[in-house]
Amino acid sequence: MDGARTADLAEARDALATALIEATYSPNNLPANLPAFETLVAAGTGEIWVERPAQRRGEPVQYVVLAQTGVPIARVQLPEGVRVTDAGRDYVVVVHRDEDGVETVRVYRLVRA
Amino acid sequence: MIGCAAPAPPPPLAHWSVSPTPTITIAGGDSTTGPLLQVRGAWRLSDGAIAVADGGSNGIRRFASGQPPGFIGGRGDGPGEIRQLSWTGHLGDTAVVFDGALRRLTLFALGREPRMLSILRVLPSDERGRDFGAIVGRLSDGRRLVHAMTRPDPARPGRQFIPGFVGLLAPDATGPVDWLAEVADMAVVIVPDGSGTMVNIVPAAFPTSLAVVATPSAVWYGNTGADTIVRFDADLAARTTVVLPDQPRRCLRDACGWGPDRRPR
Repeated sequence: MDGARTADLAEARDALATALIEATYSPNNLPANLPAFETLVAAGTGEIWVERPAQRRGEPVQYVVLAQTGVPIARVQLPEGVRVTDAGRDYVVVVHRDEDGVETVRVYRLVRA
Repeated sequence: MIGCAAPAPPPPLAHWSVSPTPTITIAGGDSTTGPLLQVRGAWRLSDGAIAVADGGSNGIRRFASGQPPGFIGGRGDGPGEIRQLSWTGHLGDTAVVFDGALRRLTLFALGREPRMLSILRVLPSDERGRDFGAIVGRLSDGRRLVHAMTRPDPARPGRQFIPGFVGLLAPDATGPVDWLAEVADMAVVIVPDGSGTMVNIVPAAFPTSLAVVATPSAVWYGNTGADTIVRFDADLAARTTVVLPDQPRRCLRDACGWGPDRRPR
């Protein structure tokens, strides 16, 4: 938590922004737990890819895949800094964002072992 | 007495893997449309080309090996133009774009020569759909998935969730929205400015929100702070709660049982 707070404060541009960030991190305004997932992606196969939040910055990205019925069927680990936008039987399309905010689209081969 | 057996544990999840390096990398930066800055969606087309919905250029780009990049859309209010690329989806090689500013859906065919197919005004008849609803998906029967997020209560300082709603709209994007659920949406913090008349509304730390997507016959939704997702079967009108696999989630507040030495009790 301290790391997240420090990182947010480093981007504050003025005293008001600093005060507002401090308010968001005050104990009464914190959630009880970290988010359980980041987003849902509806793949072309009808499956749902659920993005799990990273425990620390710079870590690989984890996804859980749900079958069309909702049953969890697989975990997938992807390189850090990417988010899935589409997936097929043997490929996954992701967007990578670098430190400057420039994005690249990448396609990886997917192996369902 | 009949013996009872404990339910069988769920099978372990498979571990899928991806290639160590990408098979395709697209960086934009061509002379006509510049780098990719706000990718709203990217998917593979039937001929292997890659479509990219680019919020920076307000259009859809098409990339195929051995072909010059294609582009359709662009910033504006005219036919085929986009003022705010809020959401994109696709039906085969047809892209569907919801313009949140112009409140309309535009369909584009993404063949070698991309072209506009049609425009559909989004006109829900109920107030919530009209004022706050955004199209974020489509079922195979044509119904449109709607996500609406209303407003926070500025009179309640501190952390709160903005109310979120999930609904379905007729294929022609008119009539009342059939609201399926109300779910806590974006977490914000209301901070009074001390004057007694104004407040600041800022995203909460470790923010959560309402995630909503559609597959051909189901709507999936849930707050990202919860370990569960709801699957609404659109054919049966039945809801199922999907429990996500266990993953340790660290507590952030003292109420979670952390002692003064910051170790779990």
